[in-house]
Amino acid sequence: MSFEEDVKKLCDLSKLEIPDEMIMEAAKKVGDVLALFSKLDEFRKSDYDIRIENDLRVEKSYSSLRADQSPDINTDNNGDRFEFQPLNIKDGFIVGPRI
Amino acid sequence: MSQLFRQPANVIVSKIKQGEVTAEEYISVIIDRINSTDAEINSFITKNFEHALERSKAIDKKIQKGQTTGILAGIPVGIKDNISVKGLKNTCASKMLSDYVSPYNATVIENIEREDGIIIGKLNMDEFGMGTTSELSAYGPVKNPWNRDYVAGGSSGGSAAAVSSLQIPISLGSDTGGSIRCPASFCSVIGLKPTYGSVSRNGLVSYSNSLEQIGPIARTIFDIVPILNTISGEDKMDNTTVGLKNSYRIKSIEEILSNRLKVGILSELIQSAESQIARGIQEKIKVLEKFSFDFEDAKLSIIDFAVAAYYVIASAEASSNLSRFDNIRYGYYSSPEGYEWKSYFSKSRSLLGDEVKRRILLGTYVLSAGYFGKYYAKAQLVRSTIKNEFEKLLQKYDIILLPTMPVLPFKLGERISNPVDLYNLDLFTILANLTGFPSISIPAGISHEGFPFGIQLIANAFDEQKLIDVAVLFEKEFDYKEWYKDL
Amino acid sequence: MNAQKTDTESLKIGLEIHCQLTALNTKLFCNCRCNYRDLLPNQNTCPICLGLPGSLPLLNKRAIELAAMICLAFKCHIPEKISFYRKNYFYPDLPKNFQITQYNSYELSSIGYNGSYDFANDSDQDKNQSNFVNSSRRTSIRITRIQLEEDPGKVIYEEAKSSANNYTLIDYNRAGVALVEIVTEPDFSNPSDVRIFLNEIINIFEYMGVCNPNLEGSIRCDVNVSLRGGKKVEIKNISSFKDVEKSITYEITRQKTLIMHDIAVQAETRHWDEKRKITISARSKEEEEDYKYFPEPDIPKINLGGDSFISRLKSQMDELPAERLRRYICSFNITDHTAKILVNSKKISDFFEESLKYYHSPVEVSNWIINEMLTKLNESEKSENNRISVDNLQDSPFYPKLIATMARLVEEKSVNRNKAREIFDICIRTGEDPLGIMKKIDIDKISDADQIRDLIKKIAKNQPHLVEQAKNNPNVYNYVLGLLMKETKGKADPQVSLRLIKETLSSSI
Repeated sequence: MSFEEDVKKLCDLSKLEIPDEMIMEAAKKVGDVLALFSKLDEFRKSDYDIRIENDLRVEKSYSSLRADQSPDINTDNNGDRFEFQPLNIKDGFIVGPRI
Repeated sequence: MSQLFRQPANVIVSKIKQGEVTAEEYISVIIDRINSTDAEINSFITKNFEHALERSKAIDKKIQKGQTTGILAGIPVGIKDNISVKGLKNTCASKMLSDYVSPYNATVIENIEREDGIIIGKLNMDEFGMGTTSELSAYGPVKNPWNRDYVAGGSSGGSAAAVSSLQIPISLGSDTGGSIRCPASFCSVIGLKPTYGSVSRNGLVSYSNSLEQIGPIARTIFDIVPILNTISGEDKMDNTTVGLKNSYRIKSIEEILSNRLKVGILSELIQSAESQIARGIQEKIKVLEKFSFDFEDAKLSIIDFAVAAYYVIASAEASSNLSRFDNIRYGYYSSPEGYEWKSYFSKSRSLLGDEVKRRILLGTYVLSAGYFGKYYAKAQLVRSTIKNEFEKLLQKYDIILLPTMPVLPFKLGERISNPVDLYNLDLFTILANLTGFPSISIPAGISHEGFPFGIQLIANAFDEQKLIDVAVLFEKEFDYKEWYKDL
Repeated sequence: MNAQKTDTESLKIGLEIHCQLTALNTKLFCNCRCNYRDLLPNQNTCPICLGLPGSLPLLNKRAIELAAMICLAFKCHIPEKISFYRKNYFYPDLPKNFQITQYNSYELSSIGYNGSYDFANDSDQDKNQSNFVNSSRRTSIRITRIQLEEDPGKVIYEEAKSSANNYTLIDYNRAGVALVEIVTEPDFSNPSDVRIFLNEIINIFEYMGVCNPNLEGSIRCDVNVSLRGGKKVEIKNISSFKDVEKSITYEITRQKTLIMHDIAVQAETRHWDEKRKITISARSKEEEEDYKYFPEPDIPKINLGGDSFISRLKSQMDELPAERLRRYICSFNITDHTAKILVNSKKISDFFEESLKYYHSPVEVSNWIINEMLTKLNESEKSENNRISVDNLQDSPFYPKLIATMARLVEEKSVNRNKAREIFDICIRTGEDPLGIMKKIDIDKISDADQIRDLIKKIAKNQPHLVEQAKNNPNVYNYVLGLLMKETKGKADPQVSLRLIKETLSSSI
């Protein structure tokens, strides 16, 4: 499978369209960036005298989370009235393409 | 009167509160200024002038009645078009959202309005925040007020250009990899990326949610402080925010100097920048040395992997964050009837720009089965290492000093073709995003050809006060407000 | 039936059960209502569950508590910290085109892992088990993990045949409702075990009050089946629990047929066709969808609080069915069988314990509940009216004090059982108090021991030779009983009367 075919497959997975005439250029640019990404292969944790303490992620205690209070329908989470008009509606349902 | 648009926000606020000037007069002047300049700059996507005038009148009424008004009373704040304002279009400069009107306010917007700030309009940007120049917009590129053939920087180009060209005194941008600080450097204004978790992202359209923050842009540090205080703080609508202990303030020079801040200078990075930038920054450091700061050379060993780590993480998160744009619930008007769903999704998403598509493809690639360890997990490991290294440095120094951008502003269209070249320009700014630490870009000079460049300061988490302190000193010493190019 | 049992070693069945936390007020990540069933389409939405640009998920604290309780019920380990992952795939019912869920391949992120559930399977229930607690013939199912995730919206097809559609209609009212997913190892070896297990799970959920199985769509189950060490076939889209056993049985047959013809069974996902009661191929496992899992950046790692969190939950948790069953068998003198029937429904066993408060006679009270009350409830459910059932017991004419009174009447007041049933019928129909009814039919006097003794003495006085004859011939007692019955027009309680006859006559000698 050539790299261009790989890119076409990626497009399908990402639900994107790139016109055929642009695929070659797109593939080249994607390839350039992937070459940049491959730099990470050279990284060796042992080269750095650094103690990695904890996860980068924020941590919170479960008691600080949102309480399960009585819901207010038709208001958003700030208590303001929530009105949203989707693009295509029929009888209150949102219209989508066929499955 | 007609020169009111030149004044900083803090001066205007006291004039309005004291009744010297009405908010309505001021806003009218601002509106005229924007209307007479924006054809050349293109910083506005949506103008909110009718609403702004109404709000200004309401604020004037409050003042006449002797009621208290907020710290931003009557001040027009421009909002990058990826931050939700209820009732206004939120396009993210993308054709994909050309008909999307946000039904709710971002938390920062609520905060601004509570302080009687006025949302004057939505500002131009690189599509979905992905870019370094603000050329990649469905609404045309933003022009640098210093030379309209040149880029304003990105992705918050509209936010920086609007402030720089004296259209508005304060704007909000978002910074994922330098998107506030880069245009601030290119347009000679102050841009600040707060500590990750100190400003709510509720209402900010996510590009890379573990890296980005909303932040302010202004011409003077005296305006940065009130807007920063307005938007900062823990928000129940954003679980990644944490509480702050104190609000920020402008200290006296004496108090600042008594703290004897220690500054670590990343000389290697300064030397790697364009020569005029390197020289300009060295001059500034010499001037500051007279304040008996402790300056020392510092080194970063892990710099080589930073850009790769940043773009792996950013594109991975972006590919997921942008999946929701399938044009079913919101987007642009087009009927899905008759289409099979997979082809409808692909067809509707074909309206995304090339750079956005590319990053989604890359993100999809790095997250695919079997590659998680090679790319995403590895990049997070590099990220941890960089953060560790910075933590060590920031135990030694209060502030790390380096350039904001390695280059001066370049011509529109000049660097569009090679993505990796552009990515590498982000090296200095991504460090603060990868680590989550706060960073400010302060105007540091103008090149011989008339192009601005900025100096960047990074502090430890939640140490924005130190950045503000040095900025106050800088402003006193260089008074860069006077550099603003007149349009 | 037997064919399934002979292959137990080679048949491997695993389950993935999705259970909505219907006990919550709000959804998992926003303040919209958890129960979306009676609302107009898309009226139960907000920026968060619609996935509007800029919206961020706000985790529901109580959802974590309920999910953790379920983990405790299944003896799962609960980690110190939990986190969430994104499962990325495109589909119109998914507002963000990713689902926020939990994932354990890169780190332990889910609320529970490595649990187990022991239950008495089919073969044990056939036997008459006297010693429940020491039984060694129980099946143990390993629980791989339990995780929290969000439900997608609903796609509704305009017509029955989706291929005739030009479009679909989507309702996001359900999007974001909290789900707990329970994944088992393929430890089941026959379909009826699966059915028993699912019934027990429903019972556990009712006891815990976490999920109401009577709400439409509140519990769904996917199955995976592999035969003789072959490839694993997943069956999805099984609409009701009754169909779970059917789908497994069908799939076993289908796979056996393939094997018989030397055709390899493919690893795949199949859909259960509810109407035709067959499984249909949906997607080959070889092209398995890549979900591009990565940690959800908008939700922090949640520190649960270790042992103090768990002990607080345990103190909040009510008794589980297994515990209640053990308690009934140990403390009350009822049979295992009776205990099981009572425990099988929390409402019924609660009713039982309530009744005991009025009159503590477990055997008699349980008898009235099972043989009288439940029988009537079953009849009513099957009848056209279908007005009363176990679920709306509070609206029925049955109440604990009534059952207690009936038990007391039979045991202490010596009311004839048939008469008691008559009284019961009248109570049910009219709502009158049983004691009131008793006074009306004047039975009270007739089962009163003293009154009967007087009548016996009267008979003995009239026919004194009976006393003498009774010494040698026990049949005399029955003869006297007959006289007594005549005297009282059949209203005397025969058992009590006979006892009193023996007493009275022997003491008058």
